[in-house]
Amino acid sequence: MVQLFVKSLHDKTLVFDFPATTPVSELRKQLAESERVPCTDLRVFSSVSDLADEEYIGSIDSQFLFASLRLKGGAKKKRKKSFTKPKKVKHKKKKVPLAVLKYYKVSDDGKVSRLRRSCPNPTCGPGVFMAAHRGRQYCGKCGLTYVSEGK
Amino acid sequence: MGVGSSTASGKLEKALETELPDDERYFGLENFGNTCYCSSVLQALYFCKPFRERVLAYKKELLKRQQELESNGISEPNPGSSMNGTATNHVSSAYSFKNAFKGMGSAVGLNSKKSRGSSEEQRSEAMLPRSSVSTRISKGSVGYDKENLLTCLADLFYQINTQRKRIGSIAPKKFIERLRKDNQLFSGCMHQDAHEFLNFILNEIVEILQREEEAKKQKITKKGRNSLDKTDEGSDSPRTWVHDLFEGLLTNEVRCLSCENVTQRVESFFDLSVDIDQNSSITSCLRNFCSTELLTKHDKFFCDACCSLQEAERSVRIKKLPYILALHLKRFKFMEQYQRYKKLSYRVVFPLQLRLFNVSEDAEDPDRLYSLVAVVIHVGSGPNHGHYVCLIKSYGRWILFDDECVELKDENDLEAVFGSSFEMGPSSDAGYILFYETVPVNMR
Repeated sequence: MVQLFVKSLHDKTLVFDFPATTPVSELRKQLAESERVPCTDLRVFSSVSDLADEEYIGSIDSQFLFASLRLKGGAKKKRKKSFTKPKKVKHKKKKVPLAVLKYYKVSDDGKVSRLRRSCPNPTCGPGVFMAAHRGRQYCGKCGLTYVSEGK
Repeated sequence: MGVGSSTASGKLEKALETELPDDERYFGLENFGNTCYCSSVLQALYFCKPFRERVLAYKKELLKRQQELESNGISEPNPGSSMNGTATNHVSSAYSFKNAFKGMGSAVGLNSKKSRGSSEEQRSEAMLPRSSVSTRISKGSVGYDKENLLTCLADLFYQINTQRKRIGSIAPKKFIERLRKDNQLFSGCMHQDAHEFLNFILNEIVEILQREEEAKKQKITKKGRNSLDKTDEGSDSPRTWVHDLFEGLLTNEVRCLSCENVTQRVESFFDLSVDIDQNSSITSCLRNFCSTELLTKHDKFFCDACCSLQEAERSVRIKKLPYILALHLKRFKFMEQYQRYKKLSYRVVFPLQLRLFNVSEDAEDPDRLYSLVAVVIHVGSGPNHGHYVCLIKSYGRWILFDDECVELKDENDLEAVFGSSFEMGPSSDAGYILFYETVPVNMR
């Protein structure tokens, strides 16, 4: 029997007894069980080298082993994208105070007249006014545009 | 390379002119898809001066061996197959060199004057592959491999060391190819653990050197039979220069609490794997490593004197200090509730200078001073993937190797790789392997 002392993941030493002809894979299995770690994630090494599964316990020239996991790495470094054109400046909506006043006109006799055309689209309906731009009318809700030709 | 690092490399260039010696080369290693675990360890080893010197000396020996063989080889008929080998070898290495050069050119900005130098370099480099061919011929008869991990490493170091430029990047293509051939674990394009690689390469070098030593010995004994019989005794694993640099000895003591019998066992080590705690320092981690521990309950010790399982105390002492002390931080914890493990970004302070304690009394130069020379850093939040970079100290300056990029860093930047003091801290860069080198007595 060979007695092995394995420094576990929790800084504690575990003791195992194996016949010398046991393969390392068996040690790894038991160790993984007691550490509750998947077998494949577990590294077992002596202070000199990693142990291969096919090795026999008897052929290890060390009684004091370490258990450890892996910190994997290897990715290529992400390179910063370099842009050739300057960034597009987004349109910023101008805030017009009391914009509603422009949509209606109240005549002297108290009658209200609407100054903008309302959108005919069924999803919009009356009450959604179309913007009066130079040469066209545009519905901000559905995007409908009327181009007035005369100008 | 390219635009992003131009200012950083500019800083390095400035430092090159004033502070860093002319004959030192700072070359990044190109990443062929998930190979930075390897590059960062190689950089740490390259800038571990004594290690590099040994590897370059090995390269010199290779070249000498090749020359000898060439002078002898004129009379020997060359087998056709090896001629074929010459051609392919030549092409592949010339190709890899061209590749390396491409990387280098774009990194530093090549102008026409310099490119003339490049063709010269390429020519001199083209001479190189011959060495591998001739050593292959000698395989079998003398026991040298044509190409193994060590020759590839030697070629790579030699290539870096003989560059005309002082900074740039190089493609370690041949080395990676060899590595993938030699080790199944590293054969894929997966992310890997840097410490596992370090372990592998050190042991591989030891094995290669021992094999060659063995072959040499056999050759001698064949020649002079009886006179050299002495050398055979107890030398199944001769010491190599890897042992000279990295090997230390640990005394493991187990004291049976029933009969007070102490079982001692001395084992050699190449590095120490230490458990870590949040907001601690390497010194305290090492203290834990060496602390006395009770073996009880399920983990009782089989005492030879009592012939039964007994409670026992286990302790570790360092018996012989290595010249280069490599420390591996166990930065992981298994979360049972999630059934997976996670990376610990714990903040662990490592000092620039370190003294070991828990050294047994008979150790040689027990309070020697170690100085931090390289840190392999894992970047990324999880254990299953991430990026490795390497910080090394060269002539008093800290230099960061990030794949093919080389940047000058300030000593204060080291603090950033201690880890994070919060559980879910923002910094995920954490020192994973530390290399400490013994400070010579007259420098202390």
